Amino acid sequence: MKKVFYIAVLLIGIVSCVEEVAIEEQETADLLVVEATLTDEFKRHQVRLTRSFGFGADSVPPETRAQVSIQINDGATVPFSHTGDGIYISDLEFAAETGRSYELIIASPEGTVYRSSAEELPGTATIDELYAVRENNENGTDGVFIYLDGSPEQGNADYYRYEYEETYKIIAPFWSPQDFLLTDYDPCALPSITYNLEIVPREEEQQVCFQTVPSSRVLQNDVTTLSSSRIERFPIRFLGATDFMISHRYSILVRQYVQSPTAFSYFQSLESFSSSENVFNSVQPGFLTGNIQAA
Amino acid sequence: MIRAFLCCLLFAVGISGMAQEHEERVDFEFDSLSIPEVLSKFSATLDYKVFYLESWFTEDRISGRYADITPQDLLSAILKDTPVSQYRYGPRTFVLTANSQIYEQLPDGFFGRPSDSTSPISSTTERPGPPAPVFVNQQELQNNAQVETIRIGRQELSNPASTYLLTGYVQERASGRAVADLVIYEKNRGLGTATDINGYYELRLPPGLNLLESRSIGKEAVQKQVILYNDGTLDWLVEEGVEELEEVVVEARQDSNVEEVITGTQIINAEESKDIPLVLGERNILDIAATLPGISKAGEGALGLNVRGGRTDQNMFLLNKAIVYNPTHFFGIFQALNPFVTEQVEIYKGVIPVEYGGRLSAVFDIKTKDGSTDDLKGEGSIGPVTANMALEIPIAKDRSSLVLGGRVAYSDWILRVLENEDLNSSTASFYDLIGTYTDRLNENNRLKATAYYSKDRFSITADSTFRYSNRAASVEWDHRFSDQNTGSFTLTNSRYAFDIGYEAQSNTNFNLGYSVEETELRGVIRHRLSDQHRLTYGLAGKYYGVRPGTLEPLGQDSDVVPQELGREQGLEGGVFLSDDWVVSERLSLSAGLRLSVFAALGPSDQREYAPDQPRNPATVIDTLSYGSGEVIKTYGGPEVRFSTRYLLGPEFSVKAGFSNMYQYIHTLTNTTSVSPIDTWKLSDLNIRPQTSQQVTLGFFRNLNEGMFELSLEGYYKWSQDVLDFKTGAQILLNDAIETEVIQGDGKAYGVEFLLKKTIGRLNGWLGYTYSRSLIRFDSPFPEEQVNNGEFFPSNYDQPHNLSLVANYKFTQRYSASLNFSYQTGRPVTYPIGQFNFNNADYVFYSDRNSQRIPDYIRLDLGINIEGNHRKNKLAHSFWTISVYNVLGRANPYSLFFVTEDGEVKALQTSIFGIPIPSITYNFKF
Repeated sequence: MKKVFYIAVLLIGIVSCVEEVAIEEQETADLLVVEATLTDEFKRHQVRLTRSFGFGADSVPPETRAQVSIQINDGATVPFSHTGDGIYISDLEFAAETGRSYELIIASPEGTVYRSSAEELPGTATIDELYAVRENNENGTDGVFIYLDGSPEQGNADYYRYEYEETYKIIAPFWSPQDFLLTDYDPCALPSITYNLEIVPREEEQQVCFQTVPSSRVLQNDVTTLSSSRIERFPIRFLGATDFMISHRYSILVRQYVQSPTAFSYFQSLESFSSSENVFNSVQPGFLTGNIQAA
Repeated sequence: MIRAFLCCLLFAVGISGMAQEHEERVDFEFDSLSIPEVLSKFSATLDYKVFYLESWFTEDRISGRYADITPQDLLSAILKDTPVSQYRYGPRTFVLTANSQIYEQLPDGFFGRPSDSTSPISSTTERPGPPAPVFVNQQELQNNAQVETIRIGRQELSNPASTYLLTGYVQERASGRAVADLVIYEKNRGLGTATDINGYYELRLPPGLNLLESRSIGKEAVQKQVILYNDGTLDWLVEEGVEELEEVVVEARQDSNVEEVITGTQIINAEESKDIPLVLGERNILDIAATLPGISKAGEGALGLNVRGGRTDQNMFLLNKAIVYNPTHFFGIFQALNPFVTEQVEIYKGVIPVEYGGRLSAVFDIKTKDGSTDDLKGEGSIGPVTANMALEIPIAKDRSSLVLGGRVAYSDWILRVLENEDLNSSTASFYDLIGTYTDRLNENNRLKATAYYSKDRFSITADSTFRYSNRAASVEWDHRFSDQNTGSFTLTNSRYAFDIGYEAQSNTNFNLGYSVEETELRGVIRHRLSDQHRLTYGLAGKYYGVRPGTLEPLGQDSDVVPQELGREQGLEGGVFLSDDWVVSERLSLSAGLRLSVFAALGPSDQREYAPDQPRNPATVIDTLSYGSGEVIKTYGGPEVRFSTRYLLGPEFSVKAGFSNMYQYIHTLTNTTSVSPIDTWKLSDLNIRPQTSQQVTLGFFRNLNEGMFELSLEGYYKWSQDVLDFKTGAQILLNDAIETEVIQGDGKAYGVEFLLKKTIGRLNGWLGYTYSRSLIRFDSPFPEEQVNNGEFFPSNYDQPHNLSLVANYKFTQRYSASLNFSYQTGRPVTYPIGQFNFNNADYVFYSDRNSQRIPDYIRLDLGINIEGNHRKNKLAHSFWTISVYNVLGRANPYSLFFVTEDGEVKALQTSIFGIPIPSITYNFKF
């Protein structure tokens, strides 16, 4: 028994020593943050421009006064217009085409012009199947895995990134069809507060609602080491058996993007800087350079 | 030997008065033959029978040419420089005897007093005729069977004397240093002498059996039975008196810290360090090293040691001369060396002796015990993490023995027993094994062979398993050519390998492997030229083979295509010479030069990059193909190893040193601390060797007759081409790693203070270091710069470092010990703001290592209880009860910023955040 006791101590020692600490406010820099994904989908494409913010701030400051356009190597230019909250939508519907290269050009209100490197479509691929399997996860928790099978179509479809949107049904568990109504409420009345309480039927049926949330994880996969280049059983999402999202109805919409190796490695670094797999070793972080630079 | 001697006596009884008329005369010559070869030529060509044992003769070769000489004189000439005598037994027969002479007549009084004599036995010295034969009582010899018996000199019938002169030289076995003031005395007669400052002695002794014993403070007493036939020499090798020491500090090397010429040398004795409390009761000689000034560890879970501001890959850990790439288990928390087998670690962090090369910062020369040649001995311990066992098995008495050691961690087993869900996915286990065979073939040859293996396995998530292993083997042969010349020849082979297994329920399961292997052959000759000069010279050649990465599918369903990155090969060579020169009584210096050379060898494809552009896949201008064994590029140059000592007083000295080094193998790491899955990379066309230069100046003072040792040492070290990575570099399975590597400059400086108390109930040491370690990565291209090309603190820059290690002995059986350490928190890269991207907040960084984590403060306490020392007890036991981190301070090990559920959090980890008690039971038989 003695041994067991000491080992228990060892494990507590090693396992339980991660604590959250407050982040000290630093002398910050005001950076322009550009988020744009150009695809071969024929639509009005979107560019999101925001500013970086300090640790004390609680909202994301949008960049609303920039001029945004995409320059195609055949000479054409697609202008974008601000629609609010830092979101810029292309004036025209268009799709990125194989063999063409595209450059994002942003002119900030201060007059600085930022250009991205010229990017091309690396290839295309399809999602063959998206399916749910009841399984235990790596920690032995019972639940449902959402798996994806996919295969490449053309070009260099080696590096993938996934985004998803989950929609689920919420039924308020302690819902009542009735509501209460207070009238003639006088908190200053003496000797005690006076009011009239009425029980009325609820005007709006709010017992059932649906929530849609976009993914916020960096979810990537590469098939460079595989002979078949086929994606098999790629785990998109795990939902524990006790997860409230799957109490009633649940749906997931998964988007699969084929991306360039540089985009893949940017997201991979972003992911590795912002997660920790191992208490003993953390990746050396630093400034991550994307593919946009001041011209 | 004894039997041969008796036979000779029997011959002597049977023969008397052999006539020697009509002597033939012969011509005879021989060229560069050993004496047995000369003798066989003698008997073959001249038709004589000669009886002798080959073991009487050394392998020295002799030459000679003789004309018109009697066979008897010829034999005398051949045997001139040996202790062997000849006796003519028949017309064509000679009998040779070692040391003793064959008497033709029995001495007077051999069978008792002659009946006609009226006088008492006359004094032997007065008796005319042949001298007294030397008789040795067999009974007496057997009583002292464990004592080495040595016969010295050739008896000369014509030159009897009542005493003979024994001279010789005494040196310490491990260090090879002369031992001064060592007393050598004859136990039964009370005759004695002491060695002079250079280790020489002279002693007059009567012929026959003398039981000699050496005595010196801190040296093991050595007994030798000497049968003296004539004047002769007897050199002694003595061991440090480990057994006599009970405390933390070495008495044996009293004043050595003042007198030693080479600066920056420290010795840790495994036995002495056993009382220091350490994490989970596991003895860790490397952690103890980190309590010495100038040696630090970046944190509790950090692999490796940083010596004088150097990267961890700049240290060379030698286990009986074979490199061990990673001598730790489980993220550096435990050492991968069996503490019961380890004898000592000698650390060179300043001017590294000339026979070592290839790593910039330090050499940790770990030696294992020579096993007992008399009795089976064992030592073991049962602790909370490991069970540990070592055996010393005698093979041949007084000659050879085998040492076996094994250690295994049972924590994994305990993890399973606990059946805790959260722990199911993280497991860890390790073991290490060692075997050494030591054979003192004869007084001139000693052989030591070592085989070592350690293995670790851990997994943090259920689908990945990490395994790493060290292998090391060495054969060391020490040979004494003559009294002035000794040589050590070593052949070593080492391998470090790791692999990562990934197993999920998909088609992507793989096993990724890495290994580095090296084989070295080295010869070092030490030549005592005179009392003033001692030369060390030799050659070393090393072959490296690296498999930088293999990828294999795991399981039948895996679609992974097997892949292997191009293997790397290299040859490293060194030629070296140094002179330890005693210039005057006060001034000594050690000056050495080592020519270091490295050749990167094919087969390989090396990319050439445009010289004035940043290195990336787009700037490749050519790919050069090299055939197998073809030299890709050579690097190297002279390395100076110079140090000098001037005695300002009898216990006060000043020392200065300069050295420069080259290093051709580098670890590639993209984490803030070193990890077991960091790969080692050889220099090639694009990756230059790391180099360094160091100057040191120090003052060394002993107080109170050696009770206190005080030292103050400063150093400044420059380094060039140290490696780092571009932000976000991918290292594993990257065949264009040079596009991710950046090479820059380092500068490190510091002042180290050490106060040691070596004698008394309370002993221990107090070390304080102020040091800085800065690096700079500058380049014309922003993508190859870090912090705009300015100097910034390295990940292990900890300016203030204080250690106190103390041990107090209440009684022979009870002692308490304390270990306190304080270090400035190490630098960390702190974000300067956050941004929203992909529906989540992320932080962004600017300057690397601009902030520090909180300081590290830890106190450990321990109590050691020795079992009683009753002589007939089966096993001696020893309990260690210790509490690690008594203060319970959650010392931060790292600080990182994660995005969880779209929000940024700062997480601070500590490895041992609470007091950790442990009990270890040790036993010895």
